[in-house]
Parts: sequence; structure tokens; C-alpha cells
Amino acid sequence: MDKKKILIVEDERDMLTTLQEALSYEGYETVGAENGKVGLKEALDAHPDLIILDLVMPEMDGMAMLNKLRKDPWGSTVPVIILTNRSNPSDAAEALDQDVYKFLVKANWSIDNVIQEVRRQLPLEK
Amino acid sequence: MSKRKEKSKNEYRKYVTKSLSALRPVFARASLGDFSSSLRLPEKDDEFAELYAGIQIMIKVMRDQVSELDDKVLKLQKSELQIEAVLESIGEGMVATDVNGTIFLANDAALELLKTEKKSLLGKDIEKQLIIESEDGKKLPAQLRPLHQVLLRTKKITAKDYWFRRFDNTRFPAVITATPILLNGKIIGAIEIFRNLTHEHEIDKAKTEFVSLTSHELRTPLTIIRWSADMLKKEDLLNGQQLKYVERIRKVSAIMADLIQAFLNASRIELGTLSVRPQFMQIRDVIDRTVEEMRFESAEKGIRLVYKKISLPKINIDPELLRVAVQNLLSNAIKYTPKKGRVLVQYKKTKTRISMTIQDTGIGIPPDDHKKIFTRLYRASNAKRISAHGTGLGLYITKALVEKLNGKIDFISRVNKGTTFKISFPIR
Repeated sequence: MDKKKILIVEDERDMLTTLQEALSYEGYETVGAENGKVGLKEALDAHPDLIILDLVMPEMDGMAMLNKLRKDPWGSTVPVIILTNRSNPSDAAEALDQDVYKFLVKANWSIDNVIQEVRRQLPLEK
Repeated sequence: MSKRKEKSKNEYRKYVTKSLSALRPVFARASLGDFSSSLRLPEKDDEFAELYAGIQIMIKVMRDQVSELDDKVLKLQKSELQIEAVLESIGEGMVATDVNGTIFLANDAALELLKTEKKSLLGKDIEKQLIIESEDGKKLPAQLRPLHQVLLRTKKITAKDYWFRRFDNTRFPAVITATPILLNGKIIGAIEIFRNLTHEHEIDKAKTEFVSLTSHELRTPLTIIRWSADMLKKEDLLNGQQLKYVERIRKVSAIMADLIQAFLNASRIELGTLSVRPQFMQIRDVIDRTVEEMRFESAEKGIRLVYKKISLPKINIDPELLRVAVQNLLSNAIKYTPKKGRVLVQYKKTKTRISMTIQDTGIGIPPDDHKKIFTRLYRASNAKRISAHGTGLGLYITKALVEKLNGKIDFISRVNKGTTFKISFPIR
């Protein structure tokens, strides 16, 4: 049976590996992208089951990628969790407008909380 | 009378007339202020010789005195020019008034700062010409003006947080020092000296932005530390001691995260970028959860955390800001209360307000610190004895948050008996 696939778009290398390792440990398949441009391409190519998206990235930031993604017919339906350190409510409001499942501020959450949210959206069949 | 007697009388008359006439030009010149003439003393040693000598001395004395006076006037003029030069070269604006507030002096720096000329200030009422405002643009009432207070109380006053309105209708922030002008112990006027603080404000802003940026940048590496520690624990490959180390990493990382959040909050408050998003909600939802989160910490210290709940009406309030404010107060209460103490949380409601009090049996706040306890980076004198750690930002942030939420905060405290903080919000 195919594992559930998660695309993680995050420019900080160590953060990306930490997330990939944590989610692999839980039993998910993960794919990483270091900015919005690469992330958009990966998303449209690989059609992951869930996207975890950082906001502040070089080349193309999270909001820009999200805007473009939502214009694609498949892209308009894929669940997205925003995982960022930007904690201003105005950022959250903007993201929620784009039909984002959750807006999580990294500094306020433990890795288990993040995994919980992922599981809620993408339950693993055991 | 014999002819000879007649003749000597006439000669004597001529002699007197001549001797007296010689004095006329001397007096004439003296009346015009000219004491330069000198008298030729007569050959005869008679009454006129004495008179001439006396007048000669008088003229000389007058001459000397006038000369001395001229010197003094010259010195005074020079002194006046020096003072004027000094006043003009003072970098700060200076305006002096008499006891009625009428301006009689304004230096170049003042004219430059206010973008005006001497004629629009001299002889005018300072209250009408030199407008001082508070930060929000409201004109300062006359009786609160530093110069006015100085005229009443004859004591020096320094004031910040005021703005001067220029004659081109722009304004600048200033620090104002007002002092009385005293002559023989009596007040004859007052001086207002002011300096443009725009540069200082810009530096302050840059510093705050720096703190904000740094704090923000620190969050990601810190999150990676915390999550890696979480994973270490999770993967269950560690022995007891190793787990203890990991627990320690998790614990202090959480402390660091709180600190960074506090710095971020403080800088957002300073920069005015803190966003408020009120919702019509039940504050018990937020406060119940926050109190529960504190149970572990209070239990660790053997402190009884007592929470008396009552039903409350919904109000318009930002839940996140409320959470941080309440968490700060609870955290302080627990931190500054010694083991086996008690923290009591309860509510009061009236028709117009909801209030919440957090009462501890802790070390209290010394009276000398009461005024400053809400200022940034301030820690009470006894706080450092119970804990070396503390940013001094907690109450500064709490007060700012409560006020952003349209609430009020107050406290009563007695050293070694305890402190009670009260926050209240309007019901709308």
C-alpha cells in the first residue's frame, strides 16, 4: 500500500531535515523543497497528500506559492498546513483566506503537536 | 570818597570780574559734560587762587569719575556682547519670559528649531506663540506647561514626552527644562530650554527593531533544538541519565522560547506594531486553560493554586493578548512566592466591569519600587534575591497588553506579606 506523501517546503536545511525525519518516523513518505518555486513544481509533479509550507523563503515565498497553487484544479484541493515563525495575526488572516487547514507558529508548538495536526488531516492507516 | 580809594575800588571790581569770567568757559564746558579744561592758577595768592584750586580739583575729580564710568559702560557693553554670543551659540533653544509669560529673549537655536523669526516671539505671550503638545497632538493646558509651573513654584522642572509645534505647522519631540530667573531671591521671570529629540527617538526605534529582528531570527534555531530534543525522547533509545539531559534541554529551551516571545512582545509594543484582534468571547475559556497550565509549576514549588470560578458574561477582547497578560501575572505570583505559599485567583463582576484578582503570599513589592514596577526592564530590589533571572519585561508587557485590551491594572502589596494584582475589563 502506498504511504501517504507529504511535501515540506522550507528553506532552512536543518528545519527541513528535522521535519522530514520526524514525519518519516511516524510512517509518512516525505519530499522536501527549499523554496516556493521548487515547491510549486514538486507539488504539481508529485501531487502529495498534504503540503507543509513555510512562509519566509527566498526566490518565491510561501504566500506566493500558495496563491499559484490554488489556481491549479488539483492545487485548489490539496490540504496545506502553514508552519512558520511569523506570529502576526495579519499573516494568519491572509493565509486562512487561501483556505489553509492550519496556521502553526513553530515557536509555540512541540513536534508532537505538529504531528498531531498532520495526523488529523492525514490519518495513517494502520 | 577820595579819588585814590575810588580808583582802587574800580581796579578791584575789574580784577574780580576778570577772575570770575575766566571761570565761565570752564563751567560752560562742564555743563556739556566736558571736563577736559584746566585753569591757569593766578600769580597772586589770594581768595581767587583758593577758588581756582578748588574748582581745578573738582573738575579733575569729575573728569576721573566720568572716565571711570565710561570704562564701566564699555566693560558692560562688552559683557553684554559676550553673553549674547554665548546665548546664540548654545545648541539648545532658549526662550526667556517675565513673570507674566511675555517673551523677552529667544536665541538663534530656538528660532531655528521653531522655524520662525525674533519678531514673532519677542514681546508676545509664550502660551500663545510657543505651542507645546502631548504625543497625541492635544495642546498642553497652560497650567501644565513647565514654564508656568516654574513661575508658580520657583523650582527647576525637566519634562520629556512633549512636542513643540513649529511655525510651519510641523512638530518635533523635545526635552524641556524650565528654570526660574531670580534676582535678590525674587522671581522676575523664567527660562524654557528645549532640545530636539528626533534623533534619540530614531535611535530608540532602531534599537527596538533590532531586538525584534534578532528575537525573530532566534526562533527557528531554537525550534530545531526543541524538536530534536523531542525526537530524542520519542525514539526511546536513551537510558535514564540521558533522558534527564534531554529533559533539561527541553525545559530550558522552553524558557528561552518564552524569553524570546517576551522580547518580541515588548518590541512590538514599543514600535506600536502589536496587532489586536478582539472577539466577542468568554474569557473563562482562556483563563481556565491558563490557570491549569500553571498547576504543574505551582505544584513543583508546593504552592497551593486556588481558583474560584464564577459565571461571567461574554466580552469583546483579544484572547491571545489576554492569555499572555494573565500568564505573566500568574507566573510572577508563583515565581515570587516561597514554597508552601498560596496563590488565589478569583473574579468580581459588576454591571459594567469584570475584574480578576491574583493574590499571592509572596515577597511583595517594596514601596520604593511601586512607581517603577511597570517600567521596561525594571526589577524590584527584592526580586533579585529570590531569582537571578528575570527580564524585567513581564509587568511592562502585561500593563501594555491590558491597556490595549481597554482594561485597567492595579496592585496592592506588602513586603513579605504578598501582592494582589487586579485587572478589570469593561462589559460592552
